[in-house]
Amino acid sequence: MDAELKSNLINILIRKRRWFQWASLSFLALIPVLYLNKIYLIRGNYFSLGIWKAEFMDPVFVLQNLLINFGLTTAMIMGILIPALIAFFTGKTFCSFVCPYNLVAELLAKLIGKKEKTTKTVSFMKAKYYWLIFGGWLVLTAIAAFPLIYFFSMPGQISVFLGDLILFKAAGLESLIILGVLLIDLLILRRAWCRLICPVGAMLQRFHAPFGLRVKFEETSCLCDFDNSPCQKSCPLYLDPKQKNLYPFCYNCGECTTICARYGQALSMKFNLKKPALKN
Amino acid sequence: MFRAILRILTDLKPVLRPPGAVKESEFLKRCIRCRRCVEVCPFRSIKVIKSRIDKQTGTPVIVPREVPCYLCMKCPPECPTGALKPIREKQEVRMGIARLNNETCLPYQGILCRACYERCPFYREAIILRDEIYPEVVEDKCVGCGICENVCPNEEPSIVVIGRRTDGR
Repeated sequence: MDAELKSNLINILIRKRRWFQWASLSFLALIPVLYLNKIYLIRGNYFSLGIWKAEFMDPVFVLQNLLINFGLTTAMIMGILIPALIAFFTGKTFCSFVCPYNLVAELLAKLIGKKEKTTKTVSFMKAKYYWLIFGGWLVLTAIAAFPLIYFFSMPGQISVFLGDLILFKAAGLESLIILGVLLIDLLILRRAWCRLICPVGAMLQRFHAPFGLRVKFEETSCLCDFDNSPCQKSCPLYLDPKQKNLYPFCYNCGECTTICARYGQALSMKFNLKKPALKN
Repeated sequence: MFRAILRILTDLKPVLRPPGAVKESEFLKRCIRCRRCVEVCPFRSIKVIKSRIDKQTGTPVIVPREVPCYLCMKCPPECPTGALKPIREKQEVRMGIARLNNETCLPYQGILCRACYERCPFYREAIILRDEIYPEVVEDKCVGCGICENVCPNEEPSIVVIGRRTDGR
């Protein structure tokens, strides 16, 4: 009963995902508007956020600071707690529910995708490469010796773009990076930014517990054509949810489980709290 | 107008950082360009460098001719990365230092003016009047808030604040 209630709740949240995404984008625009109205309750953006006395900070920026300055501040330690805890239990849900870049990319991909109707998924890479790319970011940052990821953190760049547009009525050159990443990501790399490259997501995935929220596939319940299934088509990251090595690439948006509910209900989002009983 | 000023200022090194900033090389490493200092400043004094892509992109600056720093000391504790260090007394701030241009400053030209002298938050300490007429900057007391530069009646301000780089605080 309890488990059923929990899974229902997860399904409801997943179906309201767009709502969360738009709320997140409006929240970013709200911060500078509040400031202009002399309300200083919420300061910052998705690099670092202060709500009254509570601190939030992008974990990859904490790691970056550790690499460049060899130290942490109390605000960083406090700020990393909640993002790390959310990632620990639910994986990269920041990417699928909050990140404004993903919202824009998903909407644009839908617009472009209608013409092509591509169903082909991206062939899987090994998880090793995912972490190698993340390591590459860290090495680059250490060599540059200044917060280089500032330019490539898409949630941060979009929040800064919105904030500066409202506060100063000016857009900086660095905002062109958003456009560049968006173009390459959508037209050439087929959403590889969110799936593979983004350092913000990779850092969050690092915290994802093995028993945290994951997409589960029960082969016996699957009714669809294996190579051309609705779940495959629904995945915004061009993944095939039926495959075993879905992580670290999947960001738990749950689109595949929603679509699968109309077919065999082979896919579901579950916490894997029970110990695996498979080992006999 | 604003962007033009920013561009001039960013080319004119060193720039004026918010109060409590650690020394420039350290500042560029620590600041994550999150704009929280910008969004806590009640006077809208803090601007952001946006005109180019390099290490300074996105870092906070104060453009005294637009809005100077009124030393409310709200931004240092807001900084999450320690790029701005909290300061207890505003006398301890060392953002920059005011430089007076004798060749254009009005009293030196024979026109009575006390704009900077009277507005200086450290009245009769940081800017003194020699012979009750000629303003002079006391370097040990000047914190670099830029109020003098802001109020200078000359079109091209005769007193300009330059960022301090040797002293961290």
